[in-house]
Amino acid sequence: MFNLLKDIDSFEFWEGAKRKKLLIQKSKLTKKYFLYSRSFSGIDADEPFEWVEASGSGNIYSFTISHIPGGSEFYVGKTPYIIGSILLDEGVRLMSNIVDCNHSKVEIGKKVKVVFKKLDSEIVFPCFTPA
Amino acid sequence: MARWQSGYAADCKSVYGGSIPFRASQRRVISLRDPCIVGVSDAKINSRGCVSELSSVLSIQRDCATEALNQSGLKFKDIDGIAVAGLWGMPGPGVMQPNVLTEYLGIKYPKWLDGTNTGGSAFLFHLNHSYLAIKNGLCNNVLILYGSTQKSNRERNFLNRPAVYSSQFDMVAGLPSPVGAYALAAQRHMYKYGSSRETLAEIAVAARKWASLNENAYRKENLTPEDILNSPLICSPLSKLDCCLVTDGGGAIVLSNTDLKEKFKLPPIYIKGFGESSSHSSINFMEDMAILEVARRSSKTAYQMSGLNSKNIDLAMIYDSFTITVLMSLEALGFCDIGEGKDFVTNNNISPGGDFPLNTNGGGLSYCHPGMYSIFTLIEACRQIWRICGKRQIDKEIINALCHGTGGVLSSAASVILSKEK
Repeated sequence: MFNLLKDIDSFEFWEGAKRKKLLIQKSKLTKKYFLYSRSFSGIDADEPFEWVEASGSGNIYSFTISHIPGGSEFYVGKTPYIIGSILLDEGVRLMSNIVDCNHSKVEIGKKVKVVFKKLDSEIVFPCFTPA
Repeated sequence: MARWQSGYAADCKSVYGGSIPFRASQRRVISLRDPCIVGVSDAKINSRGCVSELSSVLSIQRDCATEALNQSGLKFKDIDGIAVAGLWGMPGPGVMQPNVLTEYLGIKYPKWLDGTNTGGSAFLFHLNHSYLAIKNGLCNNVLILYGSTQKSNRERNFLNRPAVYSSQFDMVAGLPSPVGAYALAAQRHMYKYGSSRETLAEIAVAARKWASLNENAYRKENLTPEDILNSPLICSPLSKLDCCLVTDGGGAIVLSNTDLKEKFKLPPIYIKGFGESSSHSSINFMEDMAILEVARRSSKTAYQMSGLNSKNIDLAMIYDSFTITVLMSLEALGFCDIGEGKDFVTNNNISPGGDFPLNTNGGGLSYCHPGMYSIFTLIEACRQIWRICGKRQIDKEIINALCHGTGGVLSSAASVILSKEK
């Protein structure tokens, strides 16, 4: 249902999620965290990194309540649902869903914690719920 | 080895097997000529937002090119450079649009090609690159072309896109692209600066008022702020009427240079300055979702090159993919301070008769939006400078116009300052 093409920079993330672990990347040189792209992290493209487990806590950087299905057939019939950009305590932003909550109570800055949702036989997705 | 054989000349020798002689004096052309726009055209769309039946992306571009060349005084045989981007192309090995158009239009061995695709901003990148090519003598006359049949062919679809690269997380989270990405930016902008859905409605209403004066606009009927606030939300806080249209369309720009000015039918329009930048592919990797940093950078470069600033701009043509795009662009381009856009767009300031002429064709919100819009910012700016805009013509003289395009999901930016003065 999801046309997901895992690659060398995301494989560990998706495999970790299956084991209910939220994995992000950490530079071995600067000890800064990132996920997938080094954008605005100040980490050079050639810096070596390791995968580490994130605390699973963060806050809502921004969100949208979608009234149309997007991305995959999976979302047909599931509207409205919330997509959120979650700022993890480690300083990494993750695009995810905000789940198990009252939609009208969701706001920017609200503290959230990770909750793992099995989307299909292949994908477990780290989603977030108010802490 | 002789002195002239070093560097570039030596590369050419090896590529061409030494059959093409290069001399030191030919290695670099220091040109005093000025690149300029001499013709423009946009495709006619019908009441369904489509071009005529059986039109293809190629025929649309041929027709636009023909019309723009007729306006310019140049002919197809004068063209030796092509720039093109679009949502179409050869399936399989890649899109290869420059090859397809060279063949279809019968352009004999063009000397310069550009297929830069940065999303909807691409045509402004093409203009910048064309300027450099013409200024440096790589070619003389360039066609920038665009054609789309996305409405006729029902190509728009939010579902089943491959979840790849940094957007793989967005796709799994079900983010409709691009509207969901712009919604995240809008939500953050509202949180940080106190802008609101009412702010965005002002922008959509102004665009519609301008479109009502443009006979080629797709949506001309009256629109009120209440219509927008009551229209169904797509991705909060954006409603359907905060989104650009889905239409067919196309356009052409003819660039030439002042060495050929005897041929021009209209006064040439000069390119005073330009700049470009890019920052991300997925919206989640935009450094600050409430500040359009790429536009700050691209416009700063353009202002510096031109010696002008935002106060010298008589007309702003800003790609309005969504209402929020306009709000963030106005702030980033220096027409108001960051966070002050909400005050700038009120009191009919950007409507017909207002103090700040903006998107006088009706924009992507109400005139047309075939998928990649930025070419239309250039077309309208030239027509306003030439004073051929009919009912929507700005009363005061337009000396400098700023065209600004955003591509992707607030990802890339190009700014161009056009001028009737050298």
